[in-house]
Amino acid sequence: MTDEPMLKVENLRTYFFTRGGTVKAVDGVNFEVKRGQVLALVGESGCGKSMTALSIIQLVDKPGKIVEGTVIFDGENLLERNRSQMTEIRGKRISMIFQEPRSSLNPVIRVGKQLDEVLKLHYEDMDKHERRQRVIQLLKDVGIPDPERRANNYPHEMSGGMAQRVMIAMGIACEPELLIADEPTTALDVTIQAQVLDLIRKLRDEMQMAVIFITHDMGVVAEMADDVAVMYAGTIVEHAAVGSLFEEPMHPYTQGLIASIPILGEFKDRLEVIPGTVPSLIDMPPGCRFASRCKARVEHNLEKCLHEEPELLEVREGHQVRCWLYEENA
Amino acid sequence: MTDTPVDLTKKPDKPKGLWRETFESLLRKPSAVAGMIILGSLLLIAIIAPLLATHPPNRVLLDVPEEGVSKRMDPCIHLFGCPKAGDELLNIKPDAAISMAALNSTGSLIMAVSGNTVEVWRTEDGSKLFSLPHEEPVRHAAWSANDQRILTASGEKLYVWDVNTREPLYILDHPGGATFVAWSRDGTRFASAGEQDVHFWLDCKQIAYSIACSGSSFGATTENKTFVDEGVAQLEEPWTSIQWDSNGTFLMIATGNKIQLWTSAGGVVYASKTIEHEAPVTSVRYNRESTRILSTSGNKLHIWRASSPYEELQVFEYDEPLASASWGEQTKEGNLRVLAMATSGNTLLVWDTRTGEQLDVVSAGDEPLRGAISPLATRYLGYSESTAYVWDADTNELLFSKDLDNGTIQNAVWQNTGGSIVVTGEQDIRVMKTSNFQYIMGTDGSLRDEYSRLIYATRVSLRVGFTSVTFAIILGTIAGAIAGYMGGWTDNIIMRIMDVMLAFPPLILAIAVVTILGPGLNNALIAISVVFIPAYARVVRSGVLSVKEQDYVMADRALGVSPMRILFRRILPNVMAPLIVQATLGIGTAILDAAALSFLGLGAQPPTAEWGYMLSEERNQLFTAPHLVFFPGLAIMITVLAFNLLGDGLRDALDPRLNR
Amino acid sequence: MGTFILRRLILSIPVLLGILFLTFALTRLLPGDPCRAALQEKATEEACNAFNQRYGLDRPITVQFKIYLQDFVQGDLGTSIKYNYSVMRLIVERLPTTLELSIMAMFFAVAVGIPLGLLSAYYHNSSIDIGTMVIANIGVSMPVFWLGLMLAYFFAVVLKGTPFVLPPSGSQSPGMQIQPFYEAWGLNIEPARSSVWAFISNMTITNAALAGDWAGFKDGFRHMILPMVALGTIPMSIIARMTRSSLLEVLGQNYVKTARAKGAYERNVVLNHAFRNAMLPVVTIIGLSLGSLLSGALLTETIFGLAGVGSALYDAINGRDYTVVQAFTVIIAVIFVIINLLVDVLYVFLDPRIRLN
Repeated sequence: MTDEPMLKVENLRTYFFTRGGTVKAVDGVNFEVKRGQVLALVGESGCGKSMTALSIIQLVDKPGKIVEGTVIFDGENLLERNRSQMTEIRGKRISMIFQEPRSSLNPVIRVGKQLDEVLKLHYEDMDKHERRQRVIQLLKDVGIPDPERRANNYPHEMSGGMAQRVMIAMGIACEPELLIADEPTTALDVTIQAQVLDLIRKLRDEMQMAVIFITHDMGVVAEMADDVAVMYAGTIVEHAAVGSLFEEPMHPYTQGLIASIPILGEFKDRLEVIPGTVPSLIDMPPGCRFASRCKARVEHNLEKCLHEEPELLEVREGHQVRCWLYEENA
Repeated sequence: MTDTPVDLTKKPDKPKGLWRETFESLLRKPSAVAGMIILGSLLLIAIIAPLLATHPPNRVLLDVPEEGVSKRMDPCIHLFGCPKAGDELLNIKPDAAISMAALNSTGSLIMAVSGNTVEVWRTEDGSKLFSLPHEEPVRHAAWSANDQRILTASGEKLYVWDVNTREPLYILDHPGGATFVAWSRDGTRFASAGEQDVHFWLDCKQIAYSIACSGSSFGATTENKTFVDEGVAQLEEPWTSIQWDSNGTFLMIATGNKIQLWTSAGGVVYASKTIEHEAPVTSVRYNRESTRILSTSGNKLHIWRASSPYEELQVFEYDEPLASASWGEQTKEGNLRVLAMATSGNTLLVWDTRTGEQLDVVSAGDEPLRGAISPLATRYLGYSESTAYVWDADTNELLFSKDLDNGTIQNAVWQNTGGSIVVTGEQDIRVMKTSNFQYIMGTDGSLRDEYSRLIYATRVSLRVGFTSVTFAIILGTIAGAIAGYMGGWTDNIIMRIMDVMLAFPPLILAIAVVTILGPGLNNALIAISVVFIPAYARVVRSGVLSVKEQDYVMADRALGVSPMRILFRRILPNVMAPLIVQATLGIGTAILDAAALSFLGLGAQPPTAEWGYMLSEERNQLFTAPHLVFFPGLAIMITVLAFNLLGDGLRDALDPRLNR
Repeated sequence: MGTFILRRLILSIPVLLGILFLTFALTRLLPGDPCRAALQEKATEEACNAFNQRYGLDRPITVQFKIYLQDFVQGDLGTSIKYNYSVMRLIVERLPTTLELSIMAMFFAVAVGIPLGLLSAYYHNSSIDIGTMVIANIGVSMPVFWLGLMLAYFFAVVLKGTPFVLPPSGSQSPGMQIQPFYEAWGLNIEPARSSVWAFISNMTITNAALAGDWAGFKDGFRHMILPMVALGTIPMSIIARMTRSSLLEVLGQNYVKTARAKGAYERNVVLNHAFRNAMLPVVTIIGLSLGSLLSGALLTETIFGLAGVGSALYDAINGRDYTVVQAFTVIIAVIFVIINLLVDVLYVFLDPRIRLN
């Protein structure tokens, strides 16, 4: 295995040009994922993590537009590819799984056929019979019982967990090098969640895929990720290996996120809650984006936070943080 | 922490200024703004219709002073400059000097006699259609009553030309040559007059049973030999005026002091009646139906009965000699007034033939005038050798005078619609307009101003739209509220009835209802509202069902608030938004359906000015007067479009689900 | 599936009965004596008594309704006063034209409306979209009779002398004789006036096609173009608008994003994934606009001088031929109910989510 990253995102900016103003959904994001590694993108809803993922495979809907940056995938800048060249990448080398499995499957097409379509799109030499075999095999791989019969079902005839397995089967059908999973477990029951996570981990190990795992659940992050990037209001505020992050979260926002995890057996009076909400992405305050909600700023009485945006600083080996608190540590 | 008591009877707070918000979101949609602007304009047009319209909607333009109305006149937009009174509509210049000119019966063609040829010109665009060459100078020419033939007198010969083939059908001899020819109005005969001899010619193809035709004295020189010279009326003195009566029975000839009515029977031509005057007869005219004769002789203008016993009915005197007698029939406020006119020197004199009262005296210039009353007697025309004058009959105001800069005026006549005069000079023939007015969208088949009707019809359509939808909303709300509120069997029965009504295509159901009620605008209105009831009933019912179980309504019911109060204060405000959307779109559909019913003859009845009816009335004229079909339909479309745009805008504004 | 259709059929029975009752009630509400209306000047007292007895008008209203129902089921819709023959025969003569016209108009509406809506949604907010929506908005606001007249004027007068000139009235050129297809096939039958053979041979274009008369087919088709466009424009606009808004909604759905993420081409995404889902509300709208199509046929046939049900109804209205008005109202409503039934069935084929109940 080479050390060369599978995917390297640099200075990615995706803006939405709406009538109300320009929404900077992704505003200068950098990260990389290695083969066989799981990167977790964490943050509240609306922080730009899904948009980052969609920007990678260039599925940003209008009025959104990737305005800047590079997405180096296997040594090639994907943003230089045109539309039809991108379709060769999508589903084959990079695939994506969405949050709502049941609404992500086409309600009027049998699941077997939807799976079949991926194969048809990317393996021209496969005949109908081979594809059918492969579809059954895939369904079996993701743990769907009685796959022959299930392949003829419509999505509405399946449970949420079952549907998510189908989505995952669709995601791995072409043995992609990168799998992007956008909150794949959010809509599912807790027991099903664990099964799905196990499945993704198992497949990662078997196929040596790189995985970008998007979630807002720190518990899931702890379980799945190798690396973690915490996003806030369109930027990455902290980036570290999972152990380092949970041991010593540095950014006040990350600290807040971790503090809000209920821990089994530990009794807390009250779960920590980060006060306030994400600022409007249209009128971004001039300083640190988190400043208005930051307890540490008040405690340390940092004026700078309100006026100047901090850089992402490497505070420790492999641990970067975007906060004025660590200015001198860098 | 203490709980503040929750007031269950209070309505949940509605977002403040919902209507204001809706309005603002409407303003952001260009299509909705367009809809509102059009609708506002339409409402304004409906309100100030009498100010915008130039005429009352049902006024038949026969009795208005702006003559120039022909059947289904073309539109003229004033912005682009319509011709005014005295403007030359046409100036026809034949190659040689003109000796006479005559319009055909519809006024679409004009014939000019010029040297050896007779030229026929189109009056529409002034283009020459054809010319008929003769060997000798043409002295006189006449159109047949059906405009299919032209009769010419040239040298000692008479020619009967076919207008379609442009070939002479017959060539007849008039010994000594004719200076005047006249076709009888029924087309069976004509007369040709020399100095003192008038020949009677009979068309044997049409009158096969006549003795003259069976005789051997054929006068025709062509192979067909159908025209027979019936005989000659030998006059004692030269004639001054010759005119056929309307049946083609009598030929009225003024000669010396006499008017003679000549007729032919059994191949013999004879004067059946002679009316003596004291002085030489200067002019003589039959009225339109040939029941009266108007004649001038000396200082007197006489009216004679044109049938037995031919007595003098009226006589008007003036202090100067009179000439140029002319009839006019004027309809004013429903009363017919028969006018008689004569000229004396530079003066035009008009009498009312019933009362004997002298109505108008107008004069112009120094030269002696000849003249004529316009067909609808709203204008007087007078012309001297150099100038033509037109007066308004009501005000006696001189509308215009026109000098002929080259040559003398030989003749000036009214075009048969009275909209223009045709002045024949020596070098050219001019057609001049006699009114400043032009109908913006022309006139319809009943000679009403299309534009004014179109404006007034806005009122009708908006009224139909608003009232029918209001009725439908009231009835639908009652039905829907009862169904929703009572539930159970009542609900079931009401909604099944609504289902059955919805099973009919709307227009078909409306037709069935109108068939029962009988045609008429109000019945059409009722039919349309009946058809619309289910739509509103459904909206209200679903609204009632969704609100019925809410806490605040339950609380009301527990407190014993009357159902009506609950309905009006609690439930209806909640279904307001979908109801308004439905109503706005519904008005458009109602207008469309009402127009369709009127088009089928089931809605507005004549003479109501309603777009659908106006359109259906003129649809057979589509190929000749497309504007009469185009404008009403366009008006319907614009109105419906406005309601549709506004309705769509409202739906988007009030339904947040569709807001993207 | 079978049970669903059966259930749907059973559910439409009360509606059908309601239609029959309503039209029955409407005729009984007619002002004046039905006998006098039917027999007119021949209505002597004896004749009326005989008439009332013959049609059971002297019996209780429930019995009358029963008789009416029985007659209807047996295909007896009464006798036209004006034509003096059975309404059924009038329908066999007239319905084929209306059917042909309606089918062609619907075909036009679908064939033009759906692509327009598709383009409009695909190029959302572009000039194509705006242009299409302006046309569609104007289209739904137009009175069909006006559009028909304007088309007739434009194609028959303005374009006279160009190859685009089209006949403004009638269903075939004068002097054009098309053999009934069964004669062309050499079948030696003399069909009754109200048989299926007669019905099919009364469809001008279909008959010409079946008889293999190419010139006749072309001529009939040329005559149908203007009525087809006039009648089809309103449903076309409705369909275009519905397709657009439905497709826009579907294109924002998650499964469309999935399809894109699969690597499907954009055209494939729109046509295979979004389109089928977007068609569901469009099918409903097509079914509903068939109602307006039937009323529109009435106006279109009158304008273009086509001998269809619509013009027969128009004549019947003007001639106060109430039997025909009533019978045709019922027939049209029944056709409408059947169409809606078919649409519901079609819906089941298109949308697997719809299950019984």
